[in-house]
Amino acid sequence: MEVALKQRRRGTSYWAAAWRRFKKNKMAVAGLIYIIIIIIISIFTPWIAPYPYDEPHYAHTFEKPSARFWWGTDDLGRDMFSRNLYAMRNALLIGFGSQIVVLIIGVIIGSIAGFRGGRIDTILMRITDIMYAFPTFLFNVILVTVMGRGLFTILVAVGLTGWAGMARLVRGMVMYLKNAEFVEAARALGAKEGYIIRKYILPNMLGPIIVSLAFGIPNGIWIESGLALIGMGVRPPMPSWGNMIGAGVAYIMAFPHMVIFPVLTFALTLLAFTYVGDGLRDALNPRSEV
Amino acid sequence: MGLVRYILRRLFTIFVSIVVVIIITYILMWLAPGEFFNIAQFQASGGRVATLTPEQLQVLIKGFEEKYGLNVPLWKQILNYLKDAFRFKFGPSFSNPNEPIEVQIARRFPVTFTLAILSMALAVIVGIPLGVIAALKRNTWVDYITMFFSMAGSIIPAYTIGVIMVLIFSVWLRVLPTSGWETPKQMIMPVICVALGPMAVIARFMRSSLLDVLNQDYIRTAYAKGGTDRAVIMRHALRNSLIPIVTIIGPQLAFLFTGTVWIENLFRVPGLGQLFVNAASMRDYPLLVTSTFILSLSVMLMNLLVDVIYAFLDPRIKYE
Amino acid sequence: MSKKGLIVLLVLVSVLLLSGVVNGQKERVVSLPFWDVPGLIPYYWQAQHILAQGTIFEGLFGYAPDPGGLGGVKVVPVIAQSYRVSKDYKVWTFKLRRDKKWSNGDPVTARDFEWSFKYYASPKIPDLPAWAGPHQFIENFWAVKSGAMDPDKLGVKALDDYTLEIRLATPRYDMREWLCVAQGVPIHRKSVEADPQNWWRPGKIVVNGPYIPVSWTPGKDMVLVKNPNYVGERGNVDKIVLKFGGLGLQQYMAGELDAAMINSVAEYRFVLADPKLSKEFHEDVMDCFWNGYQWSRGFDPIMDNIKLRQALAMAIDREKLCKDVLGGRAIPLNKYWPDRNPIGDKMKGIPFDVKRAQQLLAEAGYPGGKGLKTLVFYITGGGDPVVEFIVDQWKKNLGINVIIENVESGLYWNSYVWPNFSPDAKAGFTVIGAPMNNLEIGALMKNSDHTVWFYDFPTSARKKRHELYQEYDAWLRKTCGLTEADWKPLLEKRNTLYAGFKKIIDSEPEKLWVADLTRPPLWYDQFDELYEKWKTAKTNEEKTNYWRLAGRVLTDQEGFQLWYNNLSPESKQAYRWRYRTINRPFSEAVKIAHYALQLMQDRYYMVPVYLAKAQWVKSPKLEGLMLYKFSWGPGFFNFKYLNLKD
Repeated sequence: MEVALKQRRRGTSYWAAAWRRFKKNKMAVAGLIYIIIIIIISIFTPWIAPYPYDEPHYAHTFEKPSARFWWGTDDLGRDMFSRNLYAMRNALLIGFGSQIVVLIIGVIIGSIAGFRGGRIDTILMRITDIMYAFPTFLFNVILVTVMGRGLFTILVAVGLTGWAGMARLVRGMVMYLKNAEFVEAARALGAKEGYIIRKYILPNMLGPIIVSLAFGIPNGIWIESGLALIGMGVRPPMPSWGNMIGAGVAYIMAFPHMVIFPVLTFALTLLAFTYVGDGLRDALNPRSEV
Repeated sequence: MGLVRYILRRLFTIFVSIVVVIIITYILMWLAPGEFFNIAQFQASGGRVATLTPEQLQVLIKGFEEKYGLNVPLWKQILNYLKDAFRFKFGPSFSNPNEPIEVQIARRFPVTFTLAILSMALAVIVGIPLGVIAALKRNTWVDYITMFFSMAGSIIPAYTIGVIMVLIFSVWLRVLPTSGWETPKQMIMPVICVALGPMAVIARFMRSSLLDVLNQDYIRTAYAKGGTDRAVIMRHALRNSLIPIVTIIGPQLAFLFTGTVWIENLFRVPGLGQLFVNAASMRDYPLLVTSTFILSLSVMLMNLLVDVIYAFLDPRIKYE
Repeated sequence: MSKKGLIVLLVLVSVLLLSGVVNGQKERVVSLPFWDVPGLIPYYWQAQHILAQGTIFEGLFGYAPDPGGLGGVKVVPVIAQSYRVSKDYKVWTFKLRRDKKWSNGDPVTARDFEWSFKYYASPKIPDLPAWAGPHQFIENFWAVKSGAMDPDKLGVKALDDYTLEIRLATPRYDMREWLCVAQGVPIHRKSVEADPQNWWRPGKIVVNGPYIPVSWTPGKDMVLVKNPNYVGERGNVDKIVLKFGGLGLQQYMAGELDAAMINSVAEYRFVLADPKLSKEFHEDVMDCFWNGYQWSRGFDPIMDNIKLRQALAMAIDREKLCKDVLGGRAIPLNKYWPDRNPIGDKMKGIPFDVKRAQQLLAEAGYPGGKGLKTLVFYITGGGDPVVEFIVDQWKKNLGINVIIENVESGLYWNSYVWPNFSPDAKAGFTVIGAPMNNLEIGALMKNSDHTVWFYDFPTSARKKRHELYQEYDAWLRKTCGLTEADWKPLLEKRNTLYAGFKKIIDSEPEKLWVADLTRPPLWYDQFDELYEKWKTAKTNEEKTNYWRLAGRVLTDQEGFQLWYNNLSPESKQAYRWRYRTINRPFSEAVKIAHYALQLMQDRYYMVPVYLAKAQWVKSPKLEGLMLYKFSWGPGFFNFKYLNLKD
């Protein structure tokens, strides 16, 4: 933390130094490149995918990979490659979307608790504790049950159950920062509260928040796949990794391509995010523990 | 003395939190579309109840509500539930009217406990050395490979790995039985599958924790004093970097109590996960509430235990 | 002979002898897959009910294998020796065999049956799934169950130790079939009374079937051993291990199971490609089901259009579905019962005729699918290839847009598939796998009678009827009824309803239907009685209660009249045929069941599409394995015929 603050005072060189440190971690760089590539692919999926995700070819069910269907076909003869691309797009939507929800709730609750302190802080932190202890998966299932299924509900559900960590993080930082020397100094010089928040506190919180989000994204994807495995994920025929893997496992004896490709892309994507998260953490926050 | 007061205060917080959690769960179920509270046998009947007259149906519903204590207002149901739950009495579930949930839990708990402990032991035994190696060889190919495989193992759904293991070891090589939970041989595959997740977490955590300690001033001092590499690391770094590991083992253990359901189904391990996971989707409300209760209780108790142990290990920490 | 030779000979002989001895004593163990059994109380609608049908428990009648029979079974006397039935089919008298014993050696007598049936019917078992057993038909059952009557008044009586008399509330022609199910078995009085909570635990349980459960771990397995006190036909297997869950085929291939179900096309293809497994492969058609779709039970009036319904039903290529999507694991089905079946052979199927479907759609007012709103196909789980295929067919053949909507499973079954009405459902469909729960005459309709009960009248009336159902419940919470003024609207309504009722009774041609409607207690008698009781009631609480009950009686009758008066003529006719079918013995009923079924099928609310196959692999040594084809199936059951060849 101290390092971060010192760097901050030296202005933009903090980010330059972070980028230097990040570059040293080869896996993180590789992960970042992978993520950028899949984000680009995901944006252009409808144009890249050779087939629509729901187009069946009944004469070609369970086909092994071939020139026509690069990754083979599934039980309805749908192109596995295209379905994987769409599944990836959905996963990214859920991963990023859920983290936006986490960010909004976490920052609001965390900063209110941190700034106000006192009773409001106690109440908000008790709520956060309860959220922390609440069995996330079960809560997600209930939320999806209550709100109905769909991409949007799932990302909201994942976000709604995942903000406790963020809120704690933000609260801790706000409490630290609001009494930090340079903030006091700014205050002494007559800066307004809003100015202080905008100019000093938010920029200094950015690093840890980014790290937390970077780890949150794969977590969101992971939770969605768990939901999909018990049939509560996105709405078919829209594919998701969870239900592709869940369905594919049943076919492993004769059609292993139905499970291998989704598993590989799923694992690679999650790994990439985790590596980038690691890299960011080391780069932005070199002495933190997690 | 401070410790006792601290624990008592934490226990009180846990109690309040659980009450809130249960109330939230009830409210969520009440909000959920469709009926949560009086439905079990009607979905099972496959249309048969349509042949009954409304009067006959009423008799069945009344009997059902009586058995599950649903014939009182919601707030009273919650109260009744909480009153019994803290004495570990949960009554029967919709999916199993034969015996009360606490009996089912009591039977399944030792299995899950064994599975969780064995897997955690394996995860620790393998994960810590992996983390140490990776940290010592930081940013070399050794580091990359160990981290890559341990993380991949935790990310590929354990169920998929399990199926592949069954195919390899039971069907083709025929060295391990496909499933069951009696002999050590039967336990090998489920334990490995369950251990993969925490193993990766521990390895990663160990790596970063060790790196962190290696950067501390006192380690540098130890170097300066002329200690050899290995001795320094063994004596100072490792011991200090192990402390934070305790914090993640606790929550991971609590998670294992139910996070193992796919593995349990696959390997016919009669544990808790099997019992709990379908509760929500099958609308088995007594089981759903109880699983929430048990899960949050165990997570909170684990966290308390971790904090206490942590304080023992690291004297710098004070109970507030 | 040399010394060496002698020793060799001796060794050989002793080896032969020993191996003979060992072989002779070797336990014959069979391991089979089974549903996860959560307990052993036979009357619950849990997996144990299948175990109770002839494996661990036995009733008066039971199932024996019969490849030609419905469900692959025929009904045979087990504990019953002979029976007599009164002319009106309301009093059944059974003579019991005298040699049947409980596993502890006690004889099985008529008193066991009497006590058990009264025990099941008593309010002590408040959550008995009565719809799943024969008790619902027994005289006074419902009054006893609700606590209004003493269990001793139930119409079951042991005339002597080996004669049992069962009196029914309504004629029932299929009591023998009904007595095969799990609620028809007796339980052992002494052990139940000694420990009402835990009598059923393995080690404690006293059974009268050929096998005794000795160990049980839910989620894992159950072990059954031969009952030494069992008298009657059975195979030579000493021990049966039932394994719950896991990967069946893989367990079979690893030699841990003696039979395994095939659960997917992948497994099916794999088995066919394997030279050894393909020889051990078996299959059968699950003819007690029909799989297909049903229209939603919501209130959108576009569902009233029969031509639309007909067009959709005719635009599905069922052959292609079974071949390409289901990979040969199902046969196409265009009527509720398949060909080569006594009922199915007499039924006409829904043709696959795209031209006609398009024409019908145009006649329905949606030429080329234009003007039709987007319909919704409700499913549960991660996805359903069958639904995706059907939706695709409709799009391709008719130009109709249907979106697939996923509903969480608890909600799906209760609020979309099996409820009387689903107010939240949009115009559209759900899948349905309609089972026979057990062998009985009503189940020959395979739930297609929901067409009459909940579909075949205008959706506006459907909505009104749903409101009446809700009002029926709401009456229980009304607080009033203390004054004559409160009764006034009720009395007026009673008279209007009475007139309507008389008209129905007088005009309905089917005597059996009229008899059913006029069977005492009649609704207006009930109402009048409640009114009289109210007049003499002392406390306000009592008064409100009588008033509420009277209100419910009227709402119920109003719902009935609404239904009857709006029902399509075809469905009325179908229902008359249903009455004729259920009012004759089982074997006769089978001969005319198709009349009702055909009429209901031709309303196109519940549309058959395919019939699933049960496929399994089985060790060549194992004989007498019976397939369970009813609801919960496919699986294996009735293990008393299991035999292991050497």
